[in-house]
Amino acid sequence: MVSFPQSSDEASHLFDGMPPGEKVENAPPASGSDIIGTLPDHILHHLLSFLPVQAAVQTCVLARRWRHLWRSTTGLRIVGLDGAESVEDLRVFVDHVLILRERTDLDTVEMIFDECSDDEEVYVKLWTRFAVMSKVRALTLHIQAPPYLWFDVLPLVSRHLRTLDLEGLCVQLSFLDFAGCPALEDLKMNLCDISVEKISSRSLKHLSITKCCSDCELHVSTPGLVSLKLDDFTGTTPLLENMALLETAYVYIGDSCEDFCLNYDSGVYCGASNITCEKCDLFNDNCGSDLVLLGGISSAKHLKLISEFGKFIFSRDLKYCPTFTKLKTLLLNEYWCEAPGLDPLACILKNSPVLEKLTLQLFSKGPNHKVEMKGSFSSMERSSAIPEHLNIVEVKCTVVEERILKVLKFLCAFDIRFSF
Amino acid sequence: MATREAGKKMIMLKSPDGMEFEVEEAVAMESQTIRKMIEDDCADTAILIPNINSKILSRVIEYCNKHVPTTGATGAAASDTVAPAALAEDLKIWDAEFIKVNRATRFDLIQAASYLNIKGLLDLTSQTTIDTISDNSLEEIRSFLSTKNDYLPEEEQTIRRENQWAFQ
Repeated sequence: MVSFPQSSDEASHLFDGMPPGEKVENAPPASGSDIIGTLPDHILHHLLSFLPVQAAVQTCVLARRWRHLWRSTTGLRIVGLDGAESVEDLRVFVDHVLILRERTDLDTVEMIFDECSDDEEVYVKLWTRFAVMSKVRALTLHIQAPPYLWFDVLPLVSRHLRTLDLEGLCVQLSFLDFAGCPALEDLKMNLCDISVEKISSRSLKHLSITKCCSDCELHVSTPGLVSLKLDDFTGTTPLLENMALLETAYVYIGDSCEDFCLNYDSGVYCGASNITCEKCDLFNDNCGSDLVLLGGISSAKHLKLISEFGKFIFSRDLKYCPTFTKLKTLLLNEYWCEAPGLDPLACILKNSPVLEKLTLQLFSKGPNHKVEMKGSFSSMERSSAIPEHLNIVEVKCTVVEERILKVLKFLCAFDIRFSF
Repeated sequence: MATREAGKKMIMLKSPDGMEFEVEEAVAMESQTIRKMIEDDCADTAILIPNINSKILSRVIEYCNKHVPTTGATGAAASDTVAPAALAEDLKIWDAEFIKVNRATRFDLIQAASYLNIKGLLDLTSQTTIDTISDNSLEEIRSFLSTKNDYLPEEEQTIRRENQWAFQ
């Protein structure tokens, strides 16, 4: 049986500089039936943080020792007891919790509401400020049902905030600047309206923007980013500035992307045929020769680039194709294989000198695919058009039909043979 | 005792029941408590970890070994053809297996994680403990905690009245 020090003094002799522990003289002696009661208070404060806050507060009637434990939890989960509730239903409860708490720091605050009326917005903003004042490190704020919560607490200022997870919020500022959060590393935005011209953070390492929309031409300026997910953005595709430390990026250009060519036909866009459409015209006027996506992510080691047909972003970026100097693994979909001669695919392969693994996911979204083929090089002679270190080529699809055969034929020209 | 390739600084951890564990410094520094000792130069020779027996200490080291970052200072390069997302997924599966232990062991791990200040392990053990509560009703929590109610009936009534807002 492990014996734990009954006070922090014993440990302090051995562990000089160890953070002071909680006094545990109230703890009942260890017994098989109440093993949790032998844990010191500061561990119980942590444990209670994983319960929905309603359940945590109710532990006050369990026994004398539990009367005040809920007041010093290291986290708050305002998530409803049985699924999310509205701000209106939880308002009185949350006000009680926040005012009656000890003024101890909060590590995590999770607020998930199923709806928030205009009148209640002010409370959610107040609670958010409370969390920030309590030095929260990980803050989650989700509004599950529309309308979006107008989130104008920004600019946030906190030396402690590391993780910010937002859903169902509307941020309409000219500049979403996280300069006031120098420790912020992880930012997730899901189903948010981010009609801002720029998102900027020097400290950010992980950025996930999923199912968000914007009325603006959003610039993402996050030079320290390590991983990026940009999934199904509605509106004009955000422009990614340089991310020299990037390891992985997943980009999905979905049907809601407004950067599409009205003259698109089988992989061919305006420009090739000397006719231009208003969409392409407008875009070229705005962007000139700036790369929208591929420039920012050209330092990545792992890329998954998926697009619906007719969205010109990737194809247009390829005209000014950067060299993917560190790219080791690459996953592409049928978008890259549609144009005559499979130019987009050929172009990205030519500009990925150290690529080791290529996966083509054709007309099959996965995660399971009916047909999976592995390619192997049939001779030692390598075509110069194929990356020198490429040794794994996978093709995943539902059924091997004409469009798939076209791709296989293309790969065969590089002496890659396929087996099922 | 396993010898590692040169260049990696090793630290000796001793449990109170006399077992010694030689671990890489980077692994030991997953514990903020040990990190502080090393940074303060209090760790020349072996470090005695009081109150954590060899069985639990070896499991804690196993956890730290798995969770020590694979890039950067430790030199061990991450696989180039496996994306970090896949590695993170593997780690989650590993964690889920790791924490399949009985209640007593889990509580020992919670205490060890708290004592050694290993946030990831403390969160894993705490979350797993709370997840074993099937619903969040007070009765369920009371039975889970096996806490004996030592309030007098009138006392409990007072507490309930005082916190009526939490019982509606």
